[in-house]
Amino acid sequence: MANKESYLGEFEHVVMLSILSLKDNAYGVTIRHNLKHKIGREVSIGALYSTAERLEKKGLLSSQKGEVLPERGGKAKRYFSVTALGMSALSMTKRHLETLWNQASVNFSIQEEGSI
Amino acid sequence: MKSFNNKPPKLALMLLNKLLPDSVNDDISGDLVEEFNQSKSSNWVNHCLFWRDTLSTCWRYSMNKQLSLSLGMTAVSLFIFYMLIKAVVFLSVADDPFFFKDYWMNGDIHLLFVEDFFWSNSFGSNAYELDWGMLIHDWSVIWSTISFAVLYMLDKRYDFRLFGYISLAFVVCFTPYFYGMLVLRFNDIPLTEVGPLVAFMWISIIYLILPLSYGLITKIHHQTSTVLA
Repeated sequence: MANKESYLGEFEHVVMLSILSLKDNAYGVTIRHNLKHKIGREVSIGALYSTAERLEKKGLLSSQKGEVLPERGGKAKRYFSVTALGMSALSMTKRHLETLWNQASVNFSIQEEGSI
Repeated sequence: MKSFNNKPPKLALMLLNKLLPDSVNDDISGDLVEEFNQSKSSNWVNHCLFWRDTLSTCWRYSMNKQLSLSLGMTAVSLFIFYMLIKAVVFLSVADDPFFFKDYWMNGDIHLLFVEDFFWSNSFGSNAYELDWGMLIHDWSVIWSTISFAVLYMLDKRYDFRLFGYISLAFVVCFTPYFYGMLVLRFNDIPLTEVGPLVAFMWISIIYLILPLSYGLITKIHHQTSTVLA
């Protein structure tokens, strides 16, 4: 039976996919940049970090500190990666969405036939 | 005109440092500084964007839903409490012509609170003339005590959700007011006998509004911490 904790919200889903696509270079700046340029979504840095913190608490993401750089004012980057639990949550969400989309398209065709 | 330098604003960095939790402080300020340094926009635009991100992030981390609800609830309750105390003080010193307004007879007593003279009259100048015994009203004491105790016991037993508790608290707090409005509207009560009814309408709320708000805020904290746990 599916664990209720592993259901993903829409924004959580988007953030996790973005982290996956960025591979080893997923941190605040690149995730925001990716979301803005790939799907045209401006995300505030606070929203991104509070979501990432929540996903880490659920065990779906992990993070580690990176190098300290002068162009970051001497602050380290925090790199995010999707855990095995996160991958299974993504996979389950994808499956559920596909099921619902398939069902919706069946209903659409019935509706179209009915209207004809 | 003073031009902007190409460094992030120090005050904004200081705000981030003070207001963000330690767990994200370095990460967020580092990201914002990196974006600032990478940006090809003008310095003025960069400064504006940096400030926008700083303020929205600080607001998000310092004003969560629980705190906003609690502050809003406290502000509304204190405002109603103050308004009703002021109304009692005002009535105790008002001149006779003031009582010839229609709303004392037809139940629309809330119209008092939109009168200019009510708000232009300062509370402090009249407060010393108040007989504080006016704030003790037997029926209000009985209603407030019984209704608050019943609500408390029901909540202990059924542990109402937030919306349920708000609805019941509203009913408990404002029933005397609506009762008074209906009595005045549908009965021809002489002006000289309106006073005790108005006292029941207002003083019950004065007694109940702060304890009920406290109960509500406690419930908000309890339910939020349960969800987060």
